[in-house]
Amino acid sequence: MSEWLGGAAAGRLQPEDDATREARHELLATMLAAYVDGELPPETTAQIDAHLLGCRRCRREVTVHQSLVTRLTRATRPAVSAALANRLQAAIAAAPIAAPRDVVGAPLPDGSPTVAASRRRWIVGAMAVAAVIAVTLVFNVRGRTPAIPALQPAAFVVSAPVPLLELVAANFRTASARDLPGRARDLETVRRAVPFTVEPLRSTDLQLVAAWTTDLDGEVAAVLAYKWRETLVLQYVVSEAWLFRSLPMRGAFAEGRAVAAESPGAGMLSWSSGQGSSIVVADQHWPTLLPLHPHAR
Amino acid sequence: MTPVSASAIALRQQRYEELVRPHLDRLLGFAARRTVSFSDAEDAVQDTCGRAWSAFEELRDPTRVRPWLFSILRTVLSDAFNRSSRRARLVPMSRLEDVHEQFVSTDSDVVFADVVARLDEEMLRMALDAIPEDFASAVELHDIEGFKYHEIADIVGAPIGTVMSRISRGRRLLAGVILERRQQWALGSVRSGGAGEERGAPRNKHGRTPRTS
Repeated sequence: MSEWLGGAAAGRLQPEDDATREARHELLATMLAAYVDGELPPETTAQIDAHLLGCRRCRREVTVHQSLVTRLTRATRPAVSAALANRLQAAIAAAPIAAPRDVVGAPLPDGSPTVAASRRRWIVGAMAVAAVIAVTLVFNVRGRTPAIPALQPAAFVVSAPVPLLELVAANFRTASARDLPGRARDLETVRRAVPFTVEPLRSTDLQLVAAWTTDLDGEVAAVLAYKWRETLVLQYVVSEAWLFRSLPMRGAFAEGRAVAAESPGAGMLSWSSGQGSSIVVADQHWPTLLPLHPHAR
Repeated sequence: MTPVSASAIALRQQRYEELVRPHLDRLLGFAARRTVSFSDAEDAVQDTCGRAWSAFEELRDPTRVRPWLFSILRTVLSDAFNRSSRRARLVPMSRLEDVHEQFVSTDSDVVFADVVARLDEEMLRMALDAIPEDFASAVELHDIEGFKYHEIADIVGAPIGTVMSRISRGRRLLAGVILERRQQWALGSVRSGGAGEERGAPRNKHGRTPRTS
């Protein structure tokens, strides 16, 4: 099988017999990768050093290993995109805390959950955590302000930045810092300008003061401005498809929950219903906005 | 499920980010080499991160975060992707081993180092795809990801002797694929004037340079 020249080349006084040499060769040949990788103890390394002196076949194999290592070490790898980084952050925000078993263990048997299924599992778990947090917050708020209603089911509170909500918060800060760009009578014009249903908020103490459209990272949104309890409230109405792109929000809406979030200077409450998909924003903490939810009691 | 305070979650999230984020590119690269589409690889990394987050308390030694993440990623991949993406492209191992053995046992004019150096990334991926997953992953974890043998043993849940054998055999199979396809991939052959492979003397990591006969 190979060109074993060890005895003659090394000038041994008592050459091994062919069978012994071949057996030793077979054994050492299996270690050549580890030899190249520096993973063998010094004594074994020295044995292979000696073996290589007389074995052209093994020298060629050592070169094969070295060449592959050299090339593979230079293999390029893709960089994680900003979009994926955002997805990861959102997924963490929606993931449960308690450690399930077998997360790191052996591969699960056939029929085990897929990536999508496990994603759904985290969302369900996240609902439980969010419910605890939301209920705690709601009770704390209610302790101070009994007028604030609770939602059933409780709102899902996202703690990590969600790109869509960050865009809305930034737009709210800009819009609320200057004169509003529309008037209340523009509502019908706005409705005709967007490809989704625009349904204003319903509340006796809510006064529509302006309506306009805006561009959020290439997506059109209808914006309705209200005066509510001496506070400016903006309702961003967006397409359901856009709202559902966010994994944690999609999971919450699938469960019929609202999504609550905070950004500097902006509390947000979002929901999706037959009347459209809305994100309501004000310079208040999000629980304050609960009465504006269509299902608030 | 035990309720967790918001501040505890924030602290845990910060520690998680510090430990996990630096390894995301490597995880994505490893996943991308064993999924059909790049979006599948991204899903696998997302799933891995989610599971890592869920089980973050299990990570006792922060210095072991990288092998720990790869261990999770391998589980994720074997759960969801491997079965469908790899099998169809496998080449019979015995044939590849014959090609390799013939090459190292004869005075071929082909200078393997030159052929391998011409492999582009796509060819490299195709070559790795053509060998069984156990061998490919062992080779990649060592040669591309830079893990030591004992770390790979932990990641794949196999004895270190098995890892040694998989890397050795995996590289032989990989060499077989490359040698077999070098004409198809227009990698050509280089005549080196007889001595062929032996123009550059082998050198191991201990710095020893074996003499030639």
